[in-house]
Amino acid sequence: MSLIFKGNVAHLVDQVTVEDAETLLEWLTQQPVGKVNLKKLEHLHAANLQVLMATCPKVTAWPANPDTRAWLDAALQQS
Amino acid sequence: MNALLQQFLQESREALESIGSTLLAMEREPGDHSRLGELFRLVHTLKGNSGLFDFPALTAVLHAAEDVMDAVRNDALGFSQPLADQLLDAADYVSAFLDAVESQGTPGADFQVPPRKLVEGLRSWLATPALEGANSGVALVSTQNSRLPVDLPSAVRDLLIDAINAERTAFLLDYQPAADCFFQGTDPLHQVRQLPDVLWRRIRPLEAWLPAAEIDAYACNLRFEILLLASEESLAEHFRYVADQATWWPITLASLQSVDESVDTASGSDLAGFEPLALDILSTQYQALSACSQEPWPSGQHVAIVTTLERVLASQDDVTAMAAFQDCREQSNRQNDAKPLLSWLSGAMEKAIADDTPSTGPVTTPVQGELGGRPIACQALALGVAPDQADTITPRRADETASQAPAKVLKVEQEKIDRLMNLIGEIVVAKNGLPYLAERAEEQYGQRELAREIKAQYAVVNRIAEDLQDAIMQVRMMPVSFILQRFPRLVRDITRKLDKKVNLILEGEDTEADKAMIEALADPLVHIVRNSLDHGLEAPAERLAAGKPETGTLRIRASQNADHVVISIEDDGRGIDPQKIKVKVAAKGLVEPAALEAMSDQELVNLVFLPGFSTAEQVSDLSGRGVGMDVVRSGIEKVGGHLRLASQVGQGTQLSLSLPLSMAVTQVMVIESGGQRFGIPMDQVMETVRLPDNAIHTIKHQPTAQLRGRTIPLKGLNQLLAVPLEQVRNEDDEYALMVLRSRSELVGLLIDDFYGSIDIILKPMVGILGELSGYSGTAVMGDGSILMILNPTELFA
Repeated sequence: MSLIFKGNVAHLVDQVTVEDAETLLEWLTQQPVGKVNLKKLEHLHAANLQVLMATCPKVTAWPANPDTRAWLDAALQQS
Repeated sequence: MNALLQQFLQESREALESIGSTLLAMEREPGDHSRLGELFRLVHTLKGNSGLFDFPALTAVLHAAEDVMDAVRNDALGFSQPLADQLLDAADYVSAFLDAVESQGTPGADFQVPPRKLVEGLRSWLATPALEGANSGVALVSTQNSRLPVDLPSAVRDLLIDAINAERTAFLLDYQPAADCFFQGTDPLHQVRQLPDVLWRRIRPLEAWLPAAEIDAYACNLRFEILLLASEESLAEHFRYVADQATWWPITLASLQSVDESVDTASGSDLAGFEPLALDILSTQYQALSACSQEPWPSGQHVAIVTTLERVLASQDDVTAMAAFQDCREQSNRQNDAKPLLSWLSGAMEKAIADDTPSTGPVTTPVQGELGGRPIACQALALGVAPDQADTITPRRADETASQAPAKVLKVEQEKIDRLMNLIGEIVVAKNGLPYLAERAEEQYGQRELAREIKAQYAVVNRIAEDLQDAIMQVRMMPVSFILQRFPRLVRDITRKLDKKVNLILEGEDTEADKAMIEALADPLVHIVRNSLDHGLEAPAERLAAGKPETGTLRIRASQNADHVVISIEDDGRGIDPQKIKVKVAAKGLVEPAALEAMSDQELVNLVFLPGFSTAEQVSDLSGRGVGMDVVRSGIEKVGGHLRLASQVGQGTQLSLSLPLSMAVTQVMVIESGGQRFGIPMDQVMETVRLPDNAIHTIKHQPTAQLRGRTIPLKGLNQLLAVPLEQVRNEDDEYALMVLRSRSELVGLLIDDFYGSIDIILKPMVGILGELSGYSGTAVMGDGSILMILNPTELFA
């Protein structure tokens, strides 16, 4: 399972696929204070990325993978 | 070359031909939806096939064309002539691409990168269907520098500068995935993560995000901006399937600086605000002018440069620059020196280069050269899209229901067929040896029974050989449409260029002839059609004034007449004026004035075939490039055909080409003269008669004879071949006379004796012998001897 919900934190692990985007969006809409943990994230499908960009959840941990981190930074850490 | 690629080339060419003809058909009837579907299918298949190979440039062009066709098919875009032009251009590109692949096995250096102007030109139809095609393409390039992100982190900037200094190419990439891209299995993030050497990236929403409850997770709303070090080829390759969604711009040091300094480009230089293309031309002219500044003013080169400068300035609507230029030109003229002009140009250029975007001017980095090249391409496109023109031409095929290709086709290389035909030719010759053998068996060895059996066997072999020959001929037969199908496009392009209106009618396209014959016909036919369009058919105004319909008619008709294919080309243009020809020929001194006076109108018209003749008042770039009708005629005659020209002043010209169905087997009449046997092509032989000595009258040193009320000039074959022998007469003191038709005249050839006619395989002579125009070739006889085949037309000339 690449998308694991623990309390109000969604853990995005390994590869998050396009099918997960719907689930992620639904969860984030229902959990206004939902947070995401990206620590073990290797790659997420662009659909998930835009869900994160649109909902702007708090990120508890950034990806350990520097390349993944760079791309997520480029999307989430600005303005 | 692997078999798959070979098949791809073959199929693509066929598809291209269909695309070309369908496009032209659609131009005539834009509303025809069945054609639209067909066209889309063809382009779609072509694109799909191209994806099998590593041809990103080809795929990009086809993809763009496919998208445009899809829009037209869905009525999102109207079909118009400029659009057809662009699609035809794309077809030309694909054709050139295929040529390159065929000759080299790979697309070659020119075809690595998708042709931007073509792709953008096509895409621009989708973006702004109402606007003129190329506008958006130009805008895109001219604003390229403003696209560089100003807030680039300094670390990234340093990296970028280092890389450019190390001669790496840097690009700013803007990738805006289509909204439905997730459904097509694309992961844009994955796509961009595969890019090498990314220096900087930014991902933004394309449009502001909706409230969370209304978001559609599966409608892509992302925009990726990426700075990276890569080659343009690799970018094109990387985004080849989404070429319409990704754009990139090369980055130069200068463009970085211009962002830094935020220079206002519209400051007051002489040439500020000029289009990059214009600046580029000016800088070229500057270099040319400085190169020839030492020459005495005004040399031809100076004049050319000044003219170019003037046109460029005029095109830019800059009054001050124009005035300054004119001043300097005057000064140069007065001082007889190029310096005033040169100094003005250099000053103006320097300012323009310093002020303006660095897209032109002296090349400082390799990347910049590339950057400088691009605006030209786009600009050329803008010029290439002509303003909407009326339907200048409506080609129409008389036979719309041309037979479709049969379902089961085996494709064989021509070489194999040629080899087969040669072998069959040898069988035909070899079997002719059997009757000789039978004769010998009977006469030399007294074996009458054996001789009869050999003859019986010969009859069987003969029948099979004839069938074989017939079958191979069938294989080599091709419909004339093979060459006629190029004419709708040719006529369309030429008439638009000449501003004439022509209705092209093609008839009898399914008439068949030997492939070699058809191919030999192609060039002469193109020349004739060009002549007709250029010289024959008048401009619309002239036609109306002459009381003719505004649209001229050009009719190309193919038909089969016995063992000949006849192709007639008729126009209803101004015709050929015999008197004009007379004046022209007299002025050029091509024919004796006295002979000219004696000529009938028809004979005068035929003078256009004289070498060195050109009727056009002015040499245009279409016809009249020194390739005259004489070349056309000799081309046709070389393959055993002939050509007839008729014309009525003010009404039109008819030209008919008659060609043998096949070149392979020639029927010749065997004759004897001077103790040697010769063959004379049967289709030139009108009759053979025995002529009494006293029937020959000499008129003006020319022996002639009266035959059925006609006076026929006589020539002795021995004399023509420089054989120092009298022609032999028979016991009744009669000459053997052969009446031959040579270029629609009758000529009598005196020979020693006639023999029968035989079928031979004519082999042209090669090497030094090939230059003997009096012979058309040789043939091997059944007994192994060689028969020389005469070419009477050349002999009499």
